[in-house]
Amino acid sequence: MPRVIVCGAGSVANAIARALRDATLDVVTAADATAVERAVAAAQTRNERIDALVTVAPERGPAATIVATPETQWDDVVERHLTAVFLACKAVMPHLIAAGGGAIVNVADAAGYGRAHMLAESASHGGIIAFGAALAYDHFHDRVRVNTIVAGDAAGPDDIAPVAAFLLSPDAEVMSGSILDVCNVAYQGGR
Amino acid sequence: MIVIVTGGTFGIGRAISLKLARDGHRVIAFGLEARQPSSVAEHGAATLQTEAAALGLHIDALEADVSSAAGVQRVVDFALATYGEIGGLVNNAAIGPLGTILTTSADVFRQVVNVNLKGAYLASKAVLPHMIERRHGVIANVGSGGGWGKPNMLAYSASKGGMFSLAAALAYDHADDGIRVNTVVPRPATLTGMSLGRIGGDMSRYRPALAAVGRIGTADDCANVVAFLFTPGAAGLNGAILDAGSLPRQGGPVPAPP
Repeated sequence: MPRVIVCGAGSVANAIARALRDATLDVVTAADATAVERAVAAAQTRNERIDALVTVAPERGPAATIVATPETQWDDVVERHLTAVFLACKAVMPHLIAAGGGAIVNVADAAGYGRAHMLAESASHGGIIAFGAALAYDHFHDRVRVNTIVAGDAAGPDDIAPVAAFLLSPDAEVMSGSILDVCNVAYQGGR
Repeated sequence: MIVIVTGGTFGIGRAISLKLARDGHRVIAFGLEARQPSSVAEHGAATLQTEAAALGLHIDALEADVSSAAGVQRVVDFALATYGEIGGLVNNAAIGPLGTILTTSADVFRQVVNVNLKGAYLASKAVLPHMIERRHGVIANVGSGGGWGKPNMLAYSASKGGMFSLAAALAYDHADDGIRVNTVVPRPATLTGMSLGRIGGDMSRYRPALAAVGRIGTADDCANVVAFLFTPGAAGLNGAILDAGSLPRQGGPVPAPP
């Protein structure tokens, strides 16, 4: 039975946990950057391998343009949205490599393509999209697959969760480095 | 679901037809029996039906030309006469002659666009009214990394890039009709009539690269991703590109192995 760490709080993370009912789950909240490290350490002491990680971005913050974004708010958004994903992946990667391979799915927000009044979140989620591609290249030979779900404005938990479960499944074994739009027409939204 | 698979008798199309049939769908596969430019695919229909029967499955395999409106209509008429409805379409048929702009004649360019891009247009146009009538439909395109532009694939790239945009436009136009249109991009050099044809049918020149999972990607891998689009879990996917090439938008380079 695969062991999956789900990093994130809220309805999307909960739906993903439900969709992964065949897996052993460690659900940790993204708010605490050391939580994934602790989950990894705990699995290690129990001599359990880790097969996969799912990260889910936190809820959107207050709307703001560059003029209305103070530096402290920028730092806070980048830390919670982008750096948290980096830290979670960094904590898990050595163990996925040691296990001979694994899968990571990061759920990013469509703000990553650039959205009005979402300056810091746009930058953070654009960062997650490129980060996922870079990670996929770096660990191609380690057989660690990294895919990114880009959740559109209308994407509900039940739209996202089965896609995340699919990306972790053997049916998606050749998928890595992909950017998969959910409720969001390829690479951009809007009619 | 009743699903039509264009180019469904050989290569990736054959794998998709078999996978969908295994998943319980009624599959109507069609293609041309004669060898097409730059491909070794031929006489796939009878073989596919025999293969399916050996697995206890039934697949209807027909001969028709996807670049001809009349050819496509014959398949649609068969589906409606036999099963009374059409719920799914896989736009898979493609030809892939290689060449730069200097080495690609206007005739070859037109032929590639007519099969790969116009074929998807014709097949989608023929099935959509029947899907709209039932307020439900799934259209899956088999795209290519060439759709992002690749060297020595001028006509093929243009046709496959057009497919991405065709799918997105269809997705917008028919989202409210309950129809989802998505594109799956298979791993490069997946063993097919096309990939073999491009090396003159000489297996000794076939150089597949490993996928991220550490083995060679196969037509079945692509078929598994296409089949996901026909499940309820894919309800949130519309106008999406499912990049099953193991590389972000089939870019590169992959770093050298350690």
